[in-house]
Amino acid sequence: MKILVCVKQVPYQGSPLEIQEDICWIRDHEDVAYCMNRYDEYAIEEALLLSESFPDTHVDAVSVGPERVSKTLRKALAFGAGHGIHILARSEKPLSPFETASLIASYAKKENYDLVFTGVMAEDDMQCLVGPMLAKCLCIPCQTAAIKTILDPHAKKITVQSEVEGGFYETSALTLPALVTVQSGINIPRYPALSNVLRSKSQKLTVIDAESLSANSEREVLSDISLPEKPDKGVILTGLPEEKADRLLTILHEKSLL
Amino acid sequence: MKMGTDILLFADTIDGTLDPLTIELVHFARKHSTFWPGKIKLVIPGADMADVIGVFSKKCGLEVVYLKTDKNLHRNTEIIGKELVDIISEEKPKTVCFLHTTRGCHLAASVAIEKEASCITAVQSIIRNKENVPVYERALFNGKLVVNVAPVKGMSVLTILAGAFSSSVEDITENDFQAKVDIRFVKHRMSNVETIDIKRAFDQEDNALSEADVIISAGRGIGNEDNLELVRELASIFPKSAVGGSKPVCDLKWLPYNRQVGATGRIVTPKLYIACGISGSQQHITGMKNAQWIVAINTDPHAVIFSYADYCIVEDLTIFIPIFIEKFRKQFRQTESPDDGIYI
Repeated sequence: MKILVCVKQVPYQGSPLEIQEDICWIRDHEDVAYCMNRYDEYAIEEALLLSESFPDTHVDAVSVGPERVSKTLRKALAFGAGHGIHILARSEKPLSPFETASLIASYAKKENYDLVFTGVMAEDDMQCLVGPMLAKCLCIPCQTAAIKTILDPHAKKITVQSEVEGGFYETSALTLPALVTVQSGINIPRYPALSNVLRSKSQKLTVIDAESLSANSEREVLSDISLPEKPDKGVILTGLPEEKADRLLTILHEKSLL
Repeated sequence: MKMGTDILLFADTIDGTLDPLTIELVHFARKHSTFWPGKIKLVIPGADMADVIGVFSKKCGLEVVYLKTDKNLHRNTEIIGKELVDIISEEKPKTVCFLHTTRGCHLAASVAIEKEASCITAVQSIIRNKENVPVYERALFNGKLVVNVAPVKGMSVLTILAGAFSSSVEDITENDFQAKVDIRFVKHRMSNVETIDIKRAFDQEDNALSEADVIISAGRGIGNEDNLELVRELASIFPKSAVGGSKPVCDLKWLPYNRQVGATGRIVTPKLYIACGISGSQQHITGMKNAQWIVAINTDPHAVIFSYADYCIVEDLTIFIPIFIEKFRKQFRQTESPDDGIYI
């Protein structure tokens, strides 16, 4: 079995976000810390859990982006992935889901993976598209928002329980090769084992220049990035915590909520 | 020669019901066609949905294609995707819209790849630019930034963010004669996906969140599970109150999933909603923004939840909540929980 996990490096949620207008994204400076997209951590964990249940299963991690992305791939190795593939895209501009999916597809097509995992969405651009677009590019079935998976390598099937908006669980069986996008709550990502951490520091990554893969012209153009207009709805209570508590008590009492 | 469609909408059915947000999709399309007039058509897949679809079509004065399938086959995204591509090839719409759900995004992605279209998700606003072409606004970084996205391909595939457009049925004004339902039987059968089962995610018996007048919700910002006690204690001073939580809190098993407020949990409309340590993800906001009064307590003044709150308290909840409870007890001389605080 060969499993591929797609991981994305995203700005750490607590980082100060400074707008860079010409690329319609955030400025990449030293105060911005980067980390692995949280949903991709669940995707890695799910792949590792499967690889532990089924011997002879290899887990590769792939990521698209500039030099700094190698750090996130090393994190994937530290978790336990066997190999890291860095599709080096030097562009300062963020890649669209379509561009990312096309690049990963042109690499993965030749590798015959049985299973591909991605996170359900990226925390930065919040698109939920790379997984299903990649599945379509690879012509393999896809199930989104998995909260449970059961693999049957002999029958070449994976059964996926998905979370559906509106409070439903949906169970589907997919014929391998297949792609599954992973929702939070599916597992609890492990702490990296020391042996893997050490290995991750020295292990070579496969670096593929994005320009050597099939290029695709962009299909969407970004413009006018800005801070959202705040609705003037809210009243910000000021003062010491005690004063705020008094004020809130009065307000709730006046509205007969207390 | 068949008349084409300008905006093709797609809405899902599950467990015999039409997605309640479909009305927002119709509002989006109507708004779009005030700028660029055109014909709107809605596709709804389902099994045994003729009555529901008929009523909806009349209510909105809208032409609907009922994509009729056998049981559960309408949930097969692969097959529905192929059927949609067929419909798009016949109707040649300029814009195809889905609701911004995981399945909506899945179908949008498939259709966009197949038809080489532009794809823009979680659209929250339509802008007419200087060249008189549509540009769509969407959020980044959990709503901390917004950006405009212009499609450059012939066809645009969009997903529409829940809550961004009106959900009022009364606002829908359209001529009745457009109401029409065409039944179309699913042709595609071959699939590498088999839908086995669809069930309710949580116990329908626990109606605490839907019945409560006051919901006190905990987010990951409460720090640790022990602080849930503070949230429970705060709930205990309100009559008819219940404790809810964000998805991350339920993922951590601090609260059961039947207490999850959000698009994938419960949509709630209490008189008062107090968000404790909740930053305000899109899916959570969808679940609580229609509460009558919203109070948010969070240490981060930039938390998105404050944009939706009526009263914003930038404080550490472990400091603020005990002070608030103590002051309440002094002022109202209450030492015990109200008798009808039954849900916590």
